[in-house]
Amino acid sequence: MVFWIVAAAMTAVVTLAIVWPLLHGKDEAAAAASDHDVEVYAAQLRELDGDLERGTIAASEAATARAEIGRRLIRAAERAQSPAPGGRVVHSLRRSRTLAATFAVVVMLPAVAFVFYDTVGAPAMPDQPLALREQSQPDLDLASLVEKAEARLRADPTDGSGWEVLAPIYLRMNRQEDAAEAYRKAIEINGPSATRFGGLGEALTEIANGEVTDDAKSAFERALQINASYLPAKFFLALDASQEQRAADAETRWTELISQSPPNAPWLRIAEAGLADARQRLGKAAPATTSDAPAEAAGVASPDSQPGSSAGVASGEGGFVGPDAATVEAASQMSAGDRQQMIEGMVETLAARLKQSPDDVEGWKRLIRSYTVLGKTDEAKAALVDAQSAFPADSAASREIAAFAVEIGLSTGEEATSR
Amino acid sequence: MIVEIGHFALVLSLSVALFQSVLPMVGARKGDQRLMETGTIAATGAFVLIGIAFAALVTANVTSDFSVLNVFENSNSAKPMLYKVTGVWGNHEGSMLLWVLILAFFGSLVALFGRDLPATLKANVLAVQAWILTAFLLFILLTSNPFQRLDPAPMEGQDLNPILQDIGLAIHPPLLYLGYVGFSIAFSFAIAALIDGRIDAAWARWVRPWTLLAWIFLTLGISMGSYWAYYELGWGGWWFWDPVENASFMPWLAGTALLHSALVMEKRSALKIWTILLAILTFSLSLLGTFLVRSGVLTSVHAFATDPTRGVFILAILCIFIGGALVLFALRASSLEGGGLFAPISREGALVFNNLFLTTATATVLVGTLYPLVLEVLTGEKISVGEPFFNLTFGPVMVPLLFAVPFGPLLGWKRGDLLGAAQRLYFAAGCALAALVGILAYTGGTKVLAAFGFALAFWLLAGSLTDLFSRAAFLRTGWRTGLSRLIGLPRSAFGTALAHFGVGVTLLGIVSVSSFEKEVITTMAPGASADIAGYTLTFDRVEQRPGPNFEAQTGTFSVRQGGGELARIETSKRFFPVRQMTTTESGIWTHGFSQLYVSLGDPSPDNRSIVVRIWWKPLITLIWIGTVFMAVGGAFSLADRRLRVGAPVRSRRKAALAGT
Repeated sequence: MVFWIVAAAMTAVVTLAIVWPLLHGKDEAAAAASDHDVEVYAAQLRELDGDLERGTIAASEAATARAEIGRRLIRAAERAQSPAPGGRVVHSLRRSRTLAATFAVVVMLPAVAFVFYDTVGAPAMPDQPLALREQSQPDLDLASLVEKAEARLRADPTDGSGWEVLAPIYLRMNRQEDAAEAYRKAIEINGPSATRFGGLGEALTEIANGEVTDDAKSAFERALQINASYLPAKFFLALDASQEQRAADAETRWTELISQSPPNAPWLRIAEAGLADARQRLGKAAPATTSDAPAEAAGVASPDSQPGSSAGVASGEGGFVGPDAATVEAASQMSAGDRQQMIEGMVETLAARLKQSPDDVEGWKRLIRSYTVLGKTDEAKAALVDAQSAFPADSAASREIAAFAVEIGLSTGEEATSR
Repeated sequence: MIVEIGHFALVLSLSVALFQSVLPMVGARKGDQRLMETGTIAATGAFVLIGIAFAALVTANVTSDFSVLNVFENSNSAKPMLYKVTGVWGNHEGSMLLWVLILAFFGSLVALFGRDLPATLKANVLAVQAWILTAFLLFILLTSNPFQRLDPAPMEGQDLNPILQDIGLAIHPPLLYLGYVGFSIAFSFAIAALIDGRIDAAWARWVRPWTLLAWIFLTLGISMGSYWAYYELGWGGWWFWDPVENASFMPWLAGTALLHSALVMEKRSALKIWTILLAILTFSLSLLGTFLVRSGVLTSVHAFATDPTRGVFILAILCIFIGGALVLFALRASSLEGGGLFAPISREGALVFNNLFLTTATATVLVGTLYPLVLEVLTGEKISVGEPFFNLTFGPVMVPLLFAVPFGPLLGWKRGDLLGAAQRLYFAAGCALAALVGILAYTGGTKVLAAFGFALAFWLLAGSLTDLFSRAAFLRTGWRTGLSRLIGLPRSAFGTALAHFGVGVTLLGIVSVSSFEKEVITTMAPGASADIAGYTLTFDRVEQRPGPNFEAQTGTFSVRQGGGELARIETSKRFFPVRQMTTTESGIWTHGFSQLYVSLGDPSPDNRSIVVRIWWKPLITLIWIGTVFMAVGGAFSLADRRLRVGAPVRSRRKAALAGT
């Protein structure tokens, strides 16, 4: 806002200044050009005398020169005496011309400036001098990251990987409609894949308040066609069977899912509940389950009881990702790749920031932990070395980092103290 | 917000320039005083607005605002403050902004100091000036916008090219641009005269001071650039006939010619049409220089072809302005009034001689600069045209010109006495002869060319002062009267003498360095010594020193002659980690007008010793000192009050009219 006020003020001042002589100027003609000529020739004559005195021109040459200049002087003087053309006749013409010029300046000058600036400028963008940037932490706020990604996609909607990254984030932010759209764009641009169709199906399911609609179902089926062992799709198809009370179908699907899932799969509890429910409907005895998950969880999968909320524990690395993102995202492994990418991006940012301002013990600890959690032990060790070299050997900070490394099992006590 | 305000101010200045292009010219056509008056205000306004834009960019650089792409690409928070400021014009976008800032500055000078100009001439000049301004503002905003933003802002910038991180960057480009762009005024005056179809007498009076002003800056700018390259590149050369140097040298040669022909026009109203053509050509060469340097065509024709936006844009500006001006010249030149008459042997004739040779010299440089480019475009073959070519072409053209220089000021206007002039140059001829014999004897007759070079230099030195001394007539009138006569001489006479003397000084430096330079290239370990030109250099030590944004490897040498230590020379190589580049900081010891020049090369594989290049450069500083003489001469000439013409006194004219 302040910017626009300043811009408007500048424009107003300039416009008024240019219009001023049009409105208040003297109509009296300035000295005609021939008057100036007379003046110059007269000066040339005076100089000629000087030159003659100093001997830089011979007397006879000076005489011819004087005659030459004299002829020009007389001609110029004659022109100067004759009245200037124009005068009163053109007075009204002059008036309308002045008005036209005034109008043109007042309207067009600001218009050209603002229209042109609108195409090249970024009025809303604040200055970001170094001092200011150092104050604010690197921007890890999810919402603003998403906004920037969206702006980029608006500029270039054919950026398939952009849609691909954004889609699971939308899903986590409970923007299911956008998520579905993003998955569709990703499929359209990058081609079909199990994860993309699986994601689309999940988004559609969430839009329908947890009901696996026919559209969602066909999406999951496409996912399975591409990758027959894509477990998330199997989960939702089993869920669909439960929802439609096809108990026999549900039982086989849940059984298959459970047998194929790794023991720590986040959906296991729901799957087991679903299986129990199906068996109950079939009149079979419920198997001995290890969990006592509420049975309704499988049947009415409202967004709140989506796999996500039941299994926030699945994410082991919840140290630096915002809690919202962690819980929403946790259960589904569908977006594991994207998630990994995003986490790595954040870790990179953190590492870059520490390179700039290494005086941050907490930052170093977070970075080392992040690398450890990601399984990048080498990077973690490198970061540990960097961290320790950032502080004097015997400082409290150095000791704290060494202790931390021992604590998370990155180094043994001997190594840490021998440094 | 400051950045965007600067951006907006730049756009606004474009809008202002558009009106400045049209309104004053319409006013001049229709004789409408009010419309003409808008030009004055618009020119001032455009300068203020571009000044705001420039200040905003400086602010962004100083505060390391990397949300500005240009700042991110060319700055770094660790860069010393001086280079944060000078780095503003150390890159394409910023230097173009400086270019238009100076263009607008000259426009506003005409607006403010042009009160004595005939109103229509002034209006036309301002309009033409605005055309150039509009073209270059469009170029900046459409292809090289320094205010382009980057979001999110990176934490650190990419740093300025280390070679440019030098005090030279603070001085050289602004001076050079003041020179380059200053010639736009002469150009605008020429176009205004052609459009009007008549050359006012005042025209002639105005062109010379403006040309002179631009010429002074260009002289200093080129000289500064030469010294910068000399100490920064570490090769000991002071002029490389590099296309970038030629790009500034060509307008200088043409500008020097213009300066002299403008003199004839000012005093004798002769050579008007030629002067107009020369004014057009001089600025055209400035534009050509801008094109060569700014389009990237020099680094590689191929690179230019892959990203041609900028190059094509400047090329279009070049074609429109040069082509348009020459067409206008062809259409209108024949209708212009000729001027005074003169005999071939006369001051005027001497100045024509000067013009002939200077334009020929310009042409040879032009050919040497453009030929490799044209060849590369046509055949893809890459050649470089260097010193041998210019020694064979430029040299022979300059020799007769330099020989003739002392005669010019001694010849009378309209018809001169060559024999009389020659007689007054006896003393100078004696000096030259003495130099010739002295050098031949000193070298045992081995360096004939050098001997003639020295003779020419002394001929110039003594000859350029002859005019002053013979006018003061010390011999005839005695010291006291002579001195008062000397002081009473017009300043332009001093200007001429000083500038010509400066040419002699520069020539003396050039001749001396090219014939008596000594060079030693050797590997040295600390403790070792090398002998050069009677001096003994001992390599004392080499050490690592940290700098603000670089690591320096500094070698210390002590200079001895006989037993005593005369001086210590420090020379270093700086490594800039951000750009992964190394620069040399040559160690220079100035002794009298001569210099001992040391630079470090690469270390030997076992890291025990290092390549050291040592030069003895006799009288080399005279090359640059001479240019200072030239510039001071120009300033004297500019300060000559006789040549200021006042405005016609209106009241007198009114009274006269009332009387009739």
